[in-house]
Amino acid sequence: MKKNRTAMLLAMALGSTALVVGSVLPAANAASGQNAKAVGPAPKIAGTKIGGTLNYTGKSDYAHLDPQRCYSTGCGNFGRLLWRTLTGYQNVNGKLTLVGDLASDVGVASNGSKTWTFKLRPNIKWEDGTTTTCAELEYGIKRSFDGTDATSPLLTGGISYASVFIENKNGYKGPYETPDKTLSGVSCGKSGSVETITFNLTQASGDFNQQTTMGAYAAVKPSKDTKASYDNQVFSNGPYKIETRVYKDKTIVVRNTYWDAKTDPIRVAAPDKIDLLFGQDSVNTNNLYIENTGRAVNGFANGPLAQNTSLIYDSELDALQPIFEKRGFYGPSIVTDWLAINVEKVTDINLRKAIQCAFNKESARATLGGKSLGDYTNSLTPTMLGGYSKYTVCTDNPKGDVAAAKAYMAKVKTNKEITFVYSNATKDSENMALSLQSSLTKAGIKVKIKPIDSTTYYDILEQQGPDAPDLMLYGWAYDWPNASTVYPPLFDSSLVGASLVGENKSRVKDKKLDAMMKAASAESNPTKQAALWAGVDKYITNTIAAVVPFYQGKTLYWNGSNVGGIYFSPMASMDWANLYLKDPKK
Amino acid sequence: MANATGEPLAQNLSLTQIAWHRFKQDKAALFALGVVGVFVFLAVFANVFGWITHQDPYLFNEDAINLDAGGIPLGRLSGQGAQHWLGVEPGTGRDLFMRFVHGARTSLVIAFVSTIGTITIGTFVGLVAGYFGGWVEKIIGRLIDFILAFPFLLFVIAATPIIENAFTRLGIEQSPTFRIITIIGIFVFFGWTGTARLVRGQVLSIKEKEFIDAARVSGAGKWHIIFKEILPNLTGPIFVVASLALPAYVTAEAVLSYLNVGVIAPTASWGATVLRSTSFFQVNPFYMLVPAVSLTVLVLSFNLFGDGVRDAFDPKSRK
Repeated sequence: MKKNRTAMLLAMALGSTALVVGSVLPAANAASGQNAKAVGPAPKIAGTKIGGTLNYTGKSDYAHLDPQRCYSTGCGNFGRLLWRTLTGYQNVNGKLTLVGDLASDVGVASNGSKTWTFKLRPNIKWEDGTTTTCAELEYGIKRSFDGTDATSPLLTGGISYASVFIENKNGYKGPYETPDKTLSGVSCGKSGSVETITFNLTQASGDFNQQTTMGAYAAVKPSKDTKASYDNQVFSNGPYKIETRVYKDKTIVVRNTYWDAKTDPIRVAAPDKIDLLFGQDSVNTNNLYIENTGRAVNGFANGPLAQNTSLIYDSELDALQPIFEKRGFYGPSIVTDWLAINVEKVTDINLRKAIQCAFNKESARATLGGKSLGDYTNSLTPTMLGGYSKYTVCTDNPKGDVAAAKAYMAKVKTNKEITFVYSNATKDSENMALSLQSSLTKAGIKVKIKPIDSTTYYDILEQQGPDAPDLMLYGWAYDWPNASTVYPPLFDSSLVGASLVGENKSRVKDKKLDAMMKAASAESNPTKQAALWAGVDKYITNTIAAVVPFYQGKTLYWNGSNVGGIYFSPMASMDWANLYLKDPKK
Repeated sequence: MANATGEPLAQNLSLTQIAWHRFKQDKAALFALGVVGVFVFLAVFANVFGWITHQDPYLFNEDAINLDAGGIPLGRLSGQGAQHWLGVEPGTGRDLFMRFVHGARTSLVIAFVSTIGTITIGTFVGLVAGYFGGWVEKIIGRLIDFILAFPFLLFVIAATPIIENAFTRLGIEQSPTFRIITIIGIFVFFGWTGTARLVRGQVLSIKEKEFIDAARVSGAGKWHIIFKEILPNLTGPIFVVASLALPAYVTAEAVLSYLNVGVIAPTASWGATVLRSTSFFQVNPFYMLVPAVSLTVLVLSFNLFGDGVRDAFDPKSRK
């Protein structure tokens, strides 16, 4: 359940730039297969060389590196170098295959997908040379209950999937608050000489083995658990271990000498050392990568548009383009943005359909950054997910269809004034609001735009009552490449409460939709499941017209001339696991 | 009849009439008044300019900007021409001249209403404190000290959302108009103290004069003495305070809007325009210069006018 606030804010901060720069790296379709028998070493990209120091230059540090607290694509992506999860994605040039990581298979479902059993991979070593056991994995999973269930949690920031899905009969609240209780839904066992772990779930889940790719399903050695401080003292069983970590300043990881590539089907881990520097000024970073000197040669960084675009307007970007083409790259991000229509307040479906038709995406996108912001879409599912399908919502013309909107307006009984709310943080979001107002007004829809103080903006979005907005811009990034992490967290009717609506900004309470989402979640055949999600998508956009799909975002990066193994990962824009240095001695 | 220095013979004229006569001699002040007049004219007839140029200050105009290049205005500089006298706003295509004249309206409405509010409250409180003295004066004095101790800018930034949320709970919805009322309210809340102190001081000296005693002896009531005997003698100082308060409120409104805590979209404001224009200074300097220079000129004119008024009422203050 990941609301991609950062991505939205970044998108809104993009400013008036609309250049297509760099080389487009396509992200492969993520709805790929699984390999229950994958073994190490991980497949290497042609030309991969081992050794050297890879650099990263960033503006902000990862909020958490503790696996049970990690909940952003950034830390999930980098954290995989320090901790191994039950399952994971083998990623070859952006093509994902679900494989066992701590497990040696991808799990076996029984009891109608309510029970899952995984065989564990032997000989996975901690950084002190001891072997990772099932008890340590179980302990790690139990830690995520502290963040979600404990009275005064120490491990805040994580995801609630584990505590929602894993059966918990004894009121287990994490290893610190309830050390004497047991978590009923998890048990370790043996199958011959191999350890196994079994999960009993609260609900049928056809893609539970994808959920187990999340940090919540990483092992933690109890004797090394420093609770809240574990964030900066992660005890590694991945290819690298922490050498230096100064939060918000720098992090250096070096090889975990006990890690054996033969046990790891996911991580190539080519560089000997990775040096991350945070809190860096975007202008300096840009200059560094423009000149390709110093840290930049062996490094990568967020692209110029993704950091602070107010520094790079128009003429400057024009000048940058040839350089960005050589040493920058961009591709689709996993974020989609849309206009959420509050169906409880905008009750007339004809009015909602009129909004869908009248919205001028071209004009609105231009105010937020133009082509560099993203590509128009009619689906809430990002293109790389199974369940994405190309279809039409009212019109394919990004300018909208005023005539069609007027036709719907003719059927509207009471022409209610629509209030669109936006954050006053940037002038770009104000411009976008003005653009939206203009395009809807042309179709005869009455629109009031209302700026909200940026500090209370997200609270206002989920509040019920007289102040509840009618229309708002919202975005989402999936948690693992399955639409089951898009629709149920956003449209389940149980989210809509009397005072708060959580992520269900459209306030949809639709029993038929609930049933459709439940059926899709329970389906374990990926092809059939994708078709079911596509049906859910069209039901939301076309049948009940609860949203106006807008665009799928883009992500931009700089890279140094000596860095190879770059491709767009459907997991999170960049994949650390396969980066290498073309000349390790440089 | 006038004497050799051009001063009118005092015996037939009121203080205000004498002051007006002196003011007319002050060329700088007259010129300043003229400039203020021009801005007032622009503000009052803002809509008429809209009828002439067929422009709207609030409407997003995608025909005037290049959507493929991030909303850069089409045409020379930033689209100046017969239609758009000052060009259009980058990103939205709104007409900058219309934003300018409507911004003048916002500025002047807030400044004039706030001034009238502060002067009215300040004068009344000052009269009461000065005339009655005793515990009334003590309480008012402490209240003034208390309000003067408030950090103004911090208070405005922190309190505006709280005030508005409180009114939202009462069923009054937040709106651009309501924000203007809130700003005026805050200005008045902080502004009356200066006037009150000044008036109190004046009252203290006037109430000892013989004509007040005469009025009292002849049976005049308290409120008659305050409003009919004392107040007319305070016209000069009050007028001076008012003419100096106006430019202060013009500046304060612009500062708040620049800090993004002033008027809210889509209200036009010079401060908000300056805030938007900073990234475009190299592309179109007029975008920033027109509101910024106008702000300076208006404040300067108000100040010169205020100085002229002060000199007219109190020629000894002139060096």
